[in-house]
Amino acid sequence: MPKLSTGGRFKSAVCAGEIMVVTASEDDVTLTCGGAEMVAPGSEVADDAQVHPDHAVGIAMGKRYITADETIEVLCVKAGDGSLAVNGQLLLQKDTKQLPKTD
Amino acid sequence: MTFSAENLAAFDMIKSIPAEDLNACVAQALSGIAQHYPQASLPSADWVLKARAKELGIEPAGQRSANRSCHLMPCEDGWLAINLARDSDWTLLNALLETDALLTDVTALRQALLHRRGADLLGRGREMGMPVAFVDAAKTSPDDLRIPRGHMRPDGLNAAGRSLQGARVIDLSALWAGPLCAHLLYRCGAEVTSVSSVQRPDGSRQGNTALYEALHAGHEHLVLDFDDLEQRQQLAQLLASADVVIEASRPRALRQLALDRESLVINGPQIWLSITAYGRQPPADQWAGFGDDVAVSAGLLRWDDLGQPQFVGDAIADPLTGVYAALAVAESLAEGRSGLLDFSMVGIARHCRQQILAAGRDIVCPLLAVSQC
Repeated sequence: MPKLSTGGRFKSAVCAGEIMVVTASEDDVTLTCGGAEMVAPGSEVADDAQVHPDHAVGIAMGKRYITADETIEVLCVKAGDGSLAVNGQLLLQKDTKQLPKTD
Repeated sequence: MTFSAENLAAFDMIKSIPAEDLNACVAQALSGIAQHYPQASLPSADWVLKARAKELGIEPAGQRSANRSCHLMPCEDGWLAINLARDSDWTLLNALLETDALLTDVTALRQALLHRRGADLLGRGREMGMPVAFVDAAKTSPDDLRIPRGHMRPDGLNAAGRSLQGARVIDLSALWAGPLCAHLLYRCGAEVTSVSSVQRPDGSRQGNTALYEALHAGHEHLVLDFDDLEQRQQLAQLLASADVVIEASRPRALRQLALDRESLVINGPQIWLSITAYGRQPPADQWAGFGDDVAVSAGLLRWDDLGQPQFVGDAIADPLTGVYAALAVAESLAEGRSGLLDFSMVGIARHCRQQILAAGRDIVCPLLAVSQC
């Protein structure tokens, strides 16, 4: 897959999910959603592709997901049924956003 | 259901009256409420617009909002407003601008934006859930007319008009617009219960809490764990039996908790006031916004001698929305209406701007002396 870069966008090959990279790492990594490697936003994907049952918790719009070592973080910009993983390790959901002190 | 001109109530008539400034807009809304509740002790228009600014001694400075979190920054094709109200908004700047450059202060951010297209960043920022707004080089806010105004009158019509006296109001909102509305309803005799979640406390309870205390005086408070099924059910019952519900979240938030109006079985005639930044229609239902950036989207700003846009007031779309929403609730109850009041802050800010322009006046900042504007 193309190297992750800050602000880069990817879509799931197996569900409606789309993400934006918030923090990228220098390493070459494999970013998957629903168990399948994520692709560039404009790419064609197979209609009959399935979410892998072990990667099927889903991602929610506006939520941020992070690797256990916090080196890679992404933002969900479109909800989907697949879960995100980097090199096979599922990403964790970051805490709920706090409301500001003032608006 | 259609309404003839004769059916138009005071709220619609007020809307067509030009106002010379923002104080006059608020005064009109307050007098509309007072017509229904002459005994109510309502605050002054000055207090509505300036309560927090006076308490904190703040005002807009340069291209920075009074609360210091929102910034108007020049870019290639106009000005981008970014509200960095939450720490998490700062951490999204690199992704917004697709850069690894260090963006830890406003100066660095201004520099980074100079040669970027604000119109593109607006779309990108919105998709990312960031509170952003844009004014183009022709000094127009692209959202000025594009976003629907929302429904300021609910559709349902019941025979009997109702009063706020003793009405049960459940307020799920935080910050300023929703709580101000709840407070005005309280002053008209409503019994208000403020509900907040353990997970996401109201940020205005931190730091200087004078405005929070003033807006929540006399309210019942209920703190619930929204992750707990039983407590969610308890809230569902409260919402179902309320005369008025006030909420100011993006539609997806309550939908995810099955606490939205469509998921609940409402027991009787009820006004459900939804306050959003940009309305409930996709894709705008997903956009984040706070009082200062939303005002920029509505074109509710002023231009200084150098042709630079400046904020007016303190989170101005918030208090404006709060006071007009309270009027709309009072009107709707009196007319015997029920259903959804779809209030977007951008719609109210735009409306106030149009009233002032209709009076042949320029937009001035209610917090600064006229000579400074």
